Parts: sequence; C-alpha cells; structure tokens
Amino acid sequence: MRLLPRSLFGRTLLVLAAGLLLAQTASLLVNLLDRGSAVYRLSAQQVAIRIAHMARVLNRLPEAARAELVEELAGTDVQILISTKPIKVTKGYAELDVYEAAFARAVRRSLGKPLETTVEITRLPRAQRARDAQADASAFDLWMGRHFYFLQPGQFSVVVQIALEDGAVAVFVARVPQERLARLETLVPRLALWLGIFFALAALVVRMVTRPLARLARGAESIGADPEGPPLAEEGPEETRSVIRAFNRMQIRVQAYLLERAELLRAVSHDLKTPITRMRLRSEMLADAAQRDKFLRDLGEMAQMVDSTLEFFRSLGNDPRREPVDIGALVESLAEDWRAMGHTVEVQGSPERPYLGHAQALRRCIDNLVGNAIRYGERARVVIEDDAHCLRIRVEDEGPGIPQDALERVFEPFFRLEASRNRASGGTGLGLSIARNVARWHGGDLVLQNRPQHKGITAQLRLPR
Amino acid sequence: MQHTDHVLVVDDDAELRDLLSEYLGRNGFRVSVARDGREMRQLLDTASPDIVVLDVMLPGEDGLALCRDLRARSNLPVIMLTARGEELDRIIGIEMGADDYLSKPFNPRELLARMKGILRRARSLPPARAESHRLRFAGWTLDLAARHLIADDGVVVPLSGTEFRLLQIFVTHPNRVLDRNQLMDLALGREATPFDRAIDVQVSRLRQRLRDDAREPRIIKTVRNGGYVLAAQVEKAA
Repeated sequence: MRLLPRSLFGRTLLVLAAGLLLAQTASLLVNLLDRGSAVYRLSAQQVAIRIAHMARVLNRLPEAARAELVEELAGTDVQILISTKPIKVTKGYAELDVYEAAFARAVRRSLGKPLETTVEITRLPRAQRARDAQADASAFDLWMGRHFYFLQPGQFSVVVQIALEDGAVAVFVARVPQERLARLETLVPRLALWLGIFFALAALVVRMVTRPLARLARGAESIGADPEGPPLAEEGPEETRSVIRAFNRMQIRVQAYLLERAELLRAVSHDLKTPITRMRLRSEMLADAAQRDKFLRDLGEMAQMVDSTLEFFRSLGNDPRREPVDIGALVESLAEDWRAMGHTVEVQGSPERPYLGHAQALRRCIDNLVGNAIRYGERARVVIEDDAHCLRIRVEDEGPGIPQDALERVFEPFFRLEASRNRASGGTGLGLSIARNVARWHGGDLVLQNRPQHKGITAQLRLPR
Repeated sequence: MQHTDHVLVVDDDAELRDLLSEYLGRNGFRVSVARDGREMRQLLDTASPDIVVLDVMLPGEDGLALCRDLRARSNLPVIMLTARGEELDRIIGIEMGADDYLSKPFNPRELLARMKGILRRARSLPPARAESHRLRFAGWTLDLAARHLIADDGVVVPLSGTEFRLLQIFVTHPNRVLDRNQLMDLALGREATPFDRAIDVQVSRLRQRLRDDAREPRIIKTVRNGGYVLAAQVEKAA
C-alpha cells in the first residue's frame, strides 16, 4: 500500500496505466507469435514453389545458358548462384528446424524430380545486408536476433541448395518478409501515443470524480466553521451527488439540532423572567435589610444572565441590516454612559468616515468590551484607528490580565476565569462571545492580547471596510 | 392631605399581580388590579386611575391592543411590561402610545422610578406622545426604539442615555421653552442645584451630535434666563 500514491487521482491513473500496458503487451505477443508464423508460413510456401520452379528450369538448361538466366533473375527477392559444390552456411537455430523441414518438403513437392535439396534458415545480421561483415552488429542486435527473431523482418534468409543433375549446385538465397507490425521502432512511439491519449482521458475522467470530492471537503470544512452556511451545490457524477445530498441532509440535521438546543436555552431563559420578577418583588418586601440586599444582588445577577443569554441569541436582532454608523459618536456616547455611572473611560482617535454596519450590534459589542475593561481593569481606554481597508478599535485595561493559554477560551460561552475574575466581579460569561459574534458577522474578528509592557489586556476589534 | 396616586395593574399572573399590588401599596400608591382587558375597562370607569401598568401578554385581547384602545379614549399614562424586550415590541409599544416600557425581569425600584417620572412629567408638561417610533426634525430622524439619531445622509449617530432622554423631551415638545429645572428633572432625574451646569453640558453635547453651531445654534436655541427650545417642526417619519 505504501507504494500507491495517496490521492485517488494518482491511484486511478496508476491502475489504469498498468492495465493498459499489460493488455497492450499481451495482445502484441499473441499477435506476433500467431500472426508472425502464419504470415511466415504463407510467404514461405510461395517462395518454396518459386524456387522449385526455377530449379527445374535451371536443371534443364545447359551450363552455358544458366548464367544468362541467373543474370536475368537477379535483382528479385531471390538471389541465385550456381556453384560447383555446396556452399557452407552458418548453422541457424534449432527452433527453426521445423520450418526448414517444411520448406524443404514444399520445394521437393514442386521439383517434380528427386533432386537433393537442403534448406537452412539463417539469420543475417543487419550489417550483412550492407554486404559488410558482422563488424557493427552489436551484442544487443545478436541477442535480439536470437530470442526475438520474429521481430526482425527481412533479417532471415532461407538458403536452399539443390544439386542439379549435371553435378552443379543451384544456391537460392531468399529473404522471407515478416509481419511489419512487429517492428520495435514503430512500436515504441505508437505505445507512447496510446499512453498519451489514454492519460489525458483518464485524467479528465478522474478529475470529474475528484473535483466534486475536493469541493465537498471544502464544504465540510466551512460547515464545521459555520453550520448556518448554505448547502453545497449538487454537482458531479451521480455517486458524488448522492454523497453531497447525504451531506446536505446531515447539515440540515445538525442545524435542526443546534436550533433545538438554542431554542431550549432560549425558552428556559425566557421562562425564568416571570419567577425572577416575582422574587425581586418579594425580596423588596423583606423586613431584614441585609437579607434583602443579598437577595436583590443574587437576583440581579440572575436577571443579567437571563438577559445576556437572550441577547446572545439575538446578537444581530431580527433584522441584520447594514447602515452607515458614526463610530465616533457610538464610542463617545457609550463612554458617556459609563462615565455617568462614575467610571473612567478615555477615548482616543476618531474614524475617518462612517462605517457600514449594524448599529445596535456594534454598540453591544464595544459596550461589552468597555464593560469588561472597567469590571476587571478599573478603567478603560478606547483607541480608534481607521484606514481605507479597516477600522480598528482597541479597548485597553489595566487589570490583572489573562493567562496566555486562556486568551482564546474566554470567548467560549459561560467560560469564567474563576481565580482572577470571580463571580463577585459580575458578568455572565457571554459578553465576549456576543462581542466576537458581532465582529465576525461584520467579516472582522476580535482577539485579546496581554499588554507586554503594561498590566492588563487589549481587546483588538478589527472591522474590515 | 397629599394626593395619593392611583395605579391600575393589569396582569394575568395572579401572584405577580398581588406582589405588585403590595409593593406599590407600600410605596405610597393606591392600587387596583385587573386580570384582563374586560376587568381593566370596568375599573377604568369606576376607579379613575392616574396611571396604568399593563402587561403585553394577556389572555384574549393583548396589552398592545388595550393600550391603543386606552390611548384613543384618554391621555392616561401607560407603562407596558413585556417579557420579550425585543426591539419590535418597543416599536409597537411606542406606536401604540405607551409612555414607557419595562422588560421582565424588571427591577421593582426601576418601575417605581419610571412611574414617578411619568407622573411628574405629566404634571410638568402637557402630555405629548410620539405615536411613531421615528420622528423627523431639522433634517434629522430620532429613532425612539433603537434610541439613536439618523442624519440626512443616512448615517446612524448613536446617543448616550442622557442625550437620548434629553432629545426625546425636546422633540416631543418642540417650539416650547423648557427650563433647566424641568430638563434636569426629566432627563437626569434629579433637581438642579444652584449654579448647576449639568444640563448646559448635556445640551452642548447634544448640539455637537446634531452638528449644531454652539455659538449660533439653529436647532436647540438658548433662551436667555429661560432655558432651551427646540426650534424645528417635528413630524412622524415612516
């Protein structure tokens, strides 16, 4: 398995290519072995008959006339030589003996007279055709000739020696043509072309499969980040479509599940409102002033939790519409509200122009940050920085800060840092969740950082324009 | 003998009704209670209350319909109690002519303070109700539900709590001189002390929000030895 490529794309290509290569090789072998010998047999038969006829004519002619005829017959595919004695021929291959015997039989059958006939099929290296010695016949050529003689057309000569009645020997050297298909030189480019076309097609087909899969993976990723996102488009082959459909159904179920849980929490929070109201009234009428104040404080906390839980669910209201908002006035007005309650809030900088956003939600977001700064850091400093691409609002405090490893966790709903930020300091554990929700809805983000040179933390709100 | 204000509490939750009745009674109110719209109407005829505390969620005819009906008949101040506290409720509450609204779980002291404020305002100023949650004046729109200003070019200008209350008093009483004491009382909820500049500071902030020139203001004008006046036509906005 380790040798397989990791991607479906690579695996499919590999398997298909290997299959093609195997099939090609097998069919080539069958083709060559079978067709090669068939063609060989057929043409050999023809040549044998011709040689026999020529031998019959030569046998009849007087010695002087033979040379004339030999000359006339020269240049055809059969070369003729009249010799006084049999010539020496390099021994061919044992596996060709069958063909030699068959050839000899065919010649004899057509000779009409019982003339002594020997047949030797021998391989002539390429160079010998150029009437040169074996000088440039490479070891590869020889090896090929020995084992793949059927691949090398025209390389075989059939040497037929027929003893004529007057003692002379007629030597016929015939070249036996073989199947052209078998030529290795043409085989390689042809296979390459095949593979090229095949790879292109395979790549296309595999892409058709893998592209929707890749999209599905991206979709799964984005649903993980935002379960409310739109369903995936049903594209690609039917198999992929059915996966996407199943996936979309799962998304709907996840959405329904989340909605159900949110609904439950919302309903519980909502239903707590009336009992808390009653308890507040009841506490107000307690005679013991100390008890009354404690009750009222607890109830105040409960009311705040109910409020911010419900607020969390409607962070962006029923109507998430953007309008230009004067962020300077927004920050200044909420700072004013905190100052009216006796807190210190400093504002620095101002935006260059109105920001297109959700006024109520942005106010809630920044108000939560300022509230946290005051609650944990006594005082808040709000710095507004603005440029063409981004509006940045920093809220700094001088509190104890947050352990580095909890800087992200404080955004989790109801998460509390019990040690440094206990319940006595108030807050419901939803303020930052709401604030980040609002920031992300606007395409921005909210991060917390400990201030390196100072005490306290900086809440960095980034709102892209 | 001092006049005792008479409050009519309309709520379908019997326990809450009794608790409110007891609490308000202890705090100097004469209290009548009604379970629903039918009982409320009977009591309106016989008991002639000074103020009505009305729950939005009522069986049968709901609080909003009752409020509209009440408004059509009289100027009786109404505080709505809502368990939803959503902006839509506030918009409808204002459009139905409620003077104020509190969302549950409200703080009883807050209810008391609001009731007193409304009664005081009703005596200090002629009753004026918005009847629309958006009011237009001098090129500006004040959104009473969202509690912010909208400029002519559509830019939303948020207001602080005090700024909003002050502006709300101005726009519901346009072209009427409001003295510092009235404004202190209604917007800041306390009486002015001699040489108190708090209202002047708030008015100058408001002028800044309204982009009004402090030396030559056109929208909120200063009246020598008198107070301030909103010099603009106010109309309902869609």
